[in-house]
Amino acid sequence: MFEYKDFLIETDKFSLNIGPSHPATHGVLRVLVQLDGETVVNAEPIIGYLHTSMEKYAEFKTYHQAETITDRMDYVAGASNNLGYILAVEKLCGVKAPKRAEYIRVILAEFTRISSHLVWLATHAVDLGALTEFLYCFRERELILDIIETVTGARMTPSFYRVGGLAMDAHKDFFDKTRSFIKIFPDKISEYEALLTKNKIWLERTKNLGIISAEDAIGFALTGPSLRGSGVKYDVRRANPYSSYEDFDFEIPTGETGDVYDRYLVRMEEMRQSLKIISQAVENVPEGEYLSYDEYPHYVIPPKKRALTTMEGMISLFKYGMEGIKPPKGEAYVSIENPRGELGFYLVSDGSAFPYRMRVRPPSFCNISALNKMVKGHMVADLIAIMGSVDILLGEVDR
Amino acid sequence: MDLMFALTVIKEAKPKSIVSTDTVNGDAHIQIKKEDLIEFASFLKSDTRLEFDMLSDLFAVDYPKKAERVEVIYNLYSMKNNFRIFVKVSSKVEETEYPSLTPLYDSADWFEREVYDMFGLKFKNHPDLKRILNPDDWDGHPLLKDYPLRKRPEPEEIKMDAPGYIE
Amino acid sequence: MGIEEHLGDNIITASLDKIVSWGRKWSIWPATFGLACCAIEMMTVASSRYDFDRLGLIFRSSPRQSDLIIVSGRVSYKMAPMVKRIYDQMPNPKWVIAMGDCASSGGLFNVYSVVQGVDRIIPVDVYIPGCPPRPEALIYGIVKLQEKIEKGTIKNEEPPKLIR
Repeated sequence: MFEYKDFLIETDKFSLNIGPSHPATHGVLRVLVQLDGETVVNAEPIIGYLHTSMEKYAEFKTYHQAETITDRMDYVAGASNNLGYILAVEKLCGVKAPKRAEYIRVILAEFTRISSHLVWLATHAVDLGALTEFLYCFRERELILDIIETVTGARMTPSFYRVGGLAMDAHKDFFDKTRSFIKIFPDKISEYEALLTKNKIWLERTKNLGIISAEDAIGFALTGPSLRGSGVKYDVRRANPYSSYEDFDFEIPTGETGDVYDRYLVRMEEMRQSLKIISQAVENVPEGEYLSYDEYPHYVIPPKKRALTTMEGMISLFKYGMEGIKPPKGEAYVSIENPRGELGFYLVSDGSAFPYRMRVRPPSFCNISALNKMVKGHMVADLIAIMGSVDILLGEVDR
Repeated sequence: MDLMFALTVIKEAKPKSIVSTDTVNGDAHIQIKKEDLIEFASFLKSDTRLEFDMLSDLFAVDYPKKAERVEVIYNLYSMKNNFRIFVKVSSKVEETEYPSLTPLYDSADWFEREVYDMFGLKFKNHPDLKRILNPDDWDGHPLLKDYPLRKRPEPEEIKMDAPGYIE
Repeated sequence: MGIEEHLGDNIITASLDKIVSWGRKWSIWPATFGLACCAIEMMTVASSRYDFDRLGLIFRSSPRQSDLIIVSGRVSYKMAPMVKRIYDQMPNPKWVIAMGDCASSGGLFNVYSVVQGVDRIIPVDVYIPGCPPRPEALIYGIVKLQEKIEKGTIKNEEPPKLIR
């Protein structure tokens, strides 16, 4: 006869390597996991497989050229990243964009937030076995990319902002398409939630997983939904409003326990709030100039029409193209609320046309550094769920 | 409580460690002495009037022409009071050993590794100081100003049998 | 040839080359291998609007089961050995698509950490320009690869060589 102890399996610690090319790591993240049986003892994320040296490269580009680097950093939310960078340059120069430009910037930034959350939801759900979600999310994401393309001309890498405004004015089509999107999208969010929020399998796989307390979250400098999932009501849009965010009425959703499920709920609610902001912005876009060229002729590009019809516009466009703008000596820091958290740009200028130093405060970089804290003691299969819930983007982690 | 009041609090409490204070574009910058860094940071974190509980960012800027060549900037944020300060520490090339802030802030771990990778600064008492973005056997520290932008190995030189796939 | 007359409509005659190439052409299975921006566009092509499956492309999670690798994004020096390893693990015949400027030539990033074109490590069949290329561009690239496969032969098949 067998006794109970004969069925117990003794386990040894061993190492398991996940990545850098693994379907569930969302890019080229490599995690070195130490396992005891199936339980994770230690998980060490190894990053740098997409290191593109963007901070160094920006030092060799003029201020406007460097903008094109920033949207390849967080490629799912390009317009958001451009906004942070342009605001930092504007702060350095002391330029303020006109109200119309600020509203259009807000619309684009919120659109990228929705589309980024859709990519997150799609990939996260696929990792946990819900393939339908992927098809649903990418269906609506295409609509958003179409709208972004209408105004910026690019799907993912717009580089549409200029110091003191926009590259061109938004067309009427853009607002019409946005309005029709606002009509259909709330139903679609309910559709996503119908599949997951009360789904027994989803709850089992996400509840009480990867819990991080508010104190730890702040210690690891987590920001964005990962921090708000732990119950800290911190949103840069509310704490330090930029680009006219103080005009809009929106709520900051927070979680309670800080587990995977809470982070999921926070992001779903954020999509609704983003839509609310977009609808307010679209209805209240003021008429007027889209570039503040008249106020700051030294730093701002002339509007295309002025450049083609007037002599001084032509000369300043030429100078602007040949030399670039030269902000005064100094340093400036601007942080914005990226879909993943607080994205900061610290610019050092030495008075020349090139940034002396561009430092990016990457939200995903901090968020993934807390992975070890979150996964300790969980099963190795849950590692995938936790990794997905942090919503990292390797382009920005590695820069 | 606003930022200006916080600055006066800091100035009154730690007059000896501060080299200079400055407000640039609305941000408060405080230059302090390197040897007082840990004491200064723990004061900022624990003082009930300030409570800088988040080390939001940590990075360095290279000024090759200055005597104190590399300047490390600590971006500290107070969640409760909603203000941030930039604490700056410079040091000469010969003495590039910094005290590590890892006992105070968890986020300092990866940031310090990045600064080590990019600038070659060493942090004393860091639990695991190694390169983070570049490969372990990389030559040089890329973000230093004298590192050429396009200095890269030939494709033939890449070791295709990547060593230590599972350490 | 007269065999068709003899055996009726149930038989077609063609060279073995043609039949094998035809089969290969419509069952290209790419490896799930994403690097950067282009990987998101690659995912988009697999989604409902563009629908990769109609071209016979089904993403496989293991390189052992796949015959196409889409290098979608910049390849850093740290990543280069892994790309090479994944390529080596794929069974012959295998094809490579360099998707986007970065994979084709380094593109925007002429910097210390980026390999200037993935063709320095592994042989590339089709280059797709664009930063990132639109999903339609990727589909066009796939069609071009299909044309190349169609012309292939099974006689004396040699693995492709690296041109540096």
